[in-house]
Amino acid sequence: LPESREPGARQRRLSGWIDDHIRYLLVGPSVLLVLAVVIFPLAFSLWVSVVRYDFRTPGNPFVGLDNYIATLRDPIFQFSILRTVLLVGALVVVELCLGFILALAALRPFRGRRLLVPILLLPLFMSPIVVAQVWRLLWDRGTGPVNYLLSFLVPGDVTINWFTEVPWNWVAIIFTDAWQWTPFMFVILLAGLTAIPVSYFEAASLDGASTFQTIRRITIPLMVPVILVAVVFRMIDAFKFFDIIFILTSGGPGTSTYTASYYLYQQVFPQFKIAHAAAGSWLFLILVTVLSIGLVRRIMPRAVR
Amino acid sequence: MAQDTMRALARAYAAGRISRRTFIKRLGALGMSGLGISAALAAVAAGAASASSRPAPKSGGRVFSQEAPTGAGDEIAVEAAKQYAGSTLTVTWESGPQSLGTKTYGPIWEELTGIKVETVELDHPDLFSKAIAEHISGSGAYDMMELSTAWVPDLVAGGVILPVNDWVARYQPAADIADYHPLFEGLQHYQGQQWGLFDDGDTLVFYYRKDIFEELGLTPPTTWEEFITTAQAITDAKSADGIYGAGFWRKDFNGFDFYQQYRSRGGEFFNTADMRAQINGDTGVETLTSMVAQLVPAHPDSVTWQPIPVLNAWMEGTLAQVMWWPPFGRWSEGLAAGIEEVSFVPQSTVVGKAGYAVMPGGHGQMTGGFLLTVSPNSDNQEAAYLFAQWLTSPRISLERVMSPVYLVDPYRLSHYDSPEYAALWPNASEYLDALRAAASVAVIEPVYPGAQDYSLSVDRACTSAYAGTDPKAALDTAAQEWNDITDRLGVDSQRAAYEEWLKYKGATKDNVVGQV
Repeated sequence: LPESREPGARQRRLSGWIDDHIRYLLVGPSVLLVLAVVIFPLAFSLWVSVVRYDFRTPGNPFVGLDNYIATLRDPIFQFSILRTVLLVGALVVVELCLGFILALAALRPFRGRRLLVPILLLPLFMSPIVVAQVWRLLWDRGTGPVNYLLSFLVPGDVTINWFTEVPWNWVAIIFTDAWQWTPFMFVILLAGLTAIPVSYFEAASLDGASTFQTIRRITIPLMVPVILVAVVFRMIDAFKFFDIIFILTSGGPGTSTYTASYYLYQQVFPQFKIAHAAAGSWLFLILVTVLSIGLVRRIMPRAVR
Repeated sequence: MAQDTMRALARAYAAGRISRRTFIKRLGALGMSGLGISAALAAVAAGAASASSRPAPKSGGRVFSQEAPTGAGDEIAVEAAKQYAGSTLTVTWESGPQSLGTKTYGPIWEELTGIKVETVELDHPDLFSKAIAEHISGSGAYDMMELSTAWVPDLVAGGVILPVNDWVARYQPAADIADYHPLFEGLQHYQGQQWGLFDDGDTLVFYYRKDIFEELGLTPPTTWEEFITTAQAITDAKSADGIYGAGFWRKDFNGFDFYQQYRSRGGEFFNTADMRAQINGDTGVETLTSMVAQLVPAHPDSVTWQPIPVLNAWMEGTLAQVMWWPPFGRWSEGLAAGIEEVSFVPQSTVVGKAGYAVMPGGHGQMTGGFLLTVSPNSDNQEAAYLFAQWLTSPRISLERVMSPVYLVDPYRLSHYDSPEYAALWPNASEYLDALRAAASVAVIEPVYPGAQDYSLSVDRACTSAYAGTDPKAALDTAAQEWNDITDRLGVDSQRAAYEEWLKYKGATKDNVVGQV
């Protein structure tokens, strides 16, 4: 009899143990996954950034902040960071303005709206590398349609090399990115606009406010939280700006279109300066974090913070 | 199905039922022209000498003169490799049609030896980075690796590749070693050891349109100044017909062009006394100024072109002067026509119109060039070496370098002298003579640590100058970057490596191989 009861007792003990530890068992796999794919790589890259990590020399001696200092002193890194900040600013402003205009235009029903809005969103579903490749063909000096179409608008042949001529290469870069990401701004801002009670606009209309006054005094103030959310999301994403540079200009001419991400890529893959790249990545992470925290503080109500 | 047909063909050829020419033609129709296994199969049938009877290997240095085996290298490799039957070799190879070489010859090697070959295709930069990544992880994922000669110092320093001296001594016939063009034979060695078997004579060759030169009464330029004048004359006369005097691939590929032109003008990279960069001196500025001037009469897309757009433009007949690797000559004559694997090569409109010469300035660069190397983490090291020896043996390699598919170019003296090759098209012998001459006066890539970093820096200086930066200012920036790279890697160790490199044939224009 004791032997026959034994399995039942073990089951109960196991069941009790599971009941006591269920919270750990449920969370455990996720924690392990996060540790493996997020925390470990982060910790590893932090370690790499403070040692000499060169496959040509044995051992990984501790070098303190040498890699950080070397990276900070690299003029290419300095200009890449500055360029990235300016580029992100330009991209966010252009895409916000275009997205806002499009959202205002799409706010009121019109014939074909149901067809047009999904079409406007299509670029969002494309891989950035594909977008860049397609636009590389479109911008091509000799065979691309951009120069051909521009030739109808201005006198003489247009023979701009959109990848190597300054400032046209920046026009191409910003336009290509705006083509893909303006819909992101558009869809967020449209959602925000539709949430504003119609009664506000009716009241403004009764008071004789012009369209411009309505936008300036009612729409924009009410949209500020939504705009900030859109800007923060887009800004964080834009700081990773890489694909379009990689395809359109390869960072050139010289290093004139290097962004932070492209600089870090160059450090690792052709040059295998892994420790420098790790240090640069941490510096870049700190910069993005500081900027993001500043913006998030603006978005979130103090009470929530 | 294609593989079965290929094997049937190989057997028919080995049995003497079809000629070698028929064999190659039929394989070409299968999209695998140039494939052949006659030597190997015949060798098996003939019962080549067993490797076990060979002298024991010696360690260190180039030990082959006294005790090297006799016979054909492919036969010896096959016989010796049979002891590893049942194993599998994983080899890295450049992706694209290049990899068809191992994919095509792998099954033949398997049939001959029982050793299976699996090919891992990698983009050119990844051949380097994956080899290092594999070595760091110690996975043993690769047995044989195709690697550029320019990477050897870094890879040796990191222990990523094994010296092959012992195997060469044991298995490589002296005649096969002597058959290498001296330029390429030399590139197998670094710091007194041999690190692989050279497999691709990637010397840049100057191609020009004979018909246009004849029409305008021009002769191939021998200096870069003449090149500019000639290009301008052609552009002036022919641009209305859509033909430009020159075309370049100057997106991402400027390092080699600067290096070859700089050294053609007598430039040296470093002052060995203090290892400070010399590229921003008068010779460097003269070189970069000329490179900017070369773009004036050239096709306006030259600064955004990579090699393939130049190939396309040449094949369409819109360029009169270009520099490219040797496959260009074979494709110009239409040898790639109808072969699916190289369908990216446009139909040639310049058949019979291509002339070949050494580069203006007299010294083209050996740019690329692969070594077949053995991984220290491999469980099949000797089998990997033997496969490399088989692939690079005179008989097998001749078939590969004749093919328009594999992008492997002549590097053995027997390749240049091959009557079979010379019969591939009417002026193929001129092509082979030009390749031999180009290799004999070629300068080589920097083969010392940091080569990749130095080259990237020069590339940026060039693109910056093309966009309007003063060449002197651009080169000053590059020189400062070079000095930083040198300081980072260690001035003394870099000096030692650079001085070692200066001993190579082709390091400077005054130290080329010369007439072979």
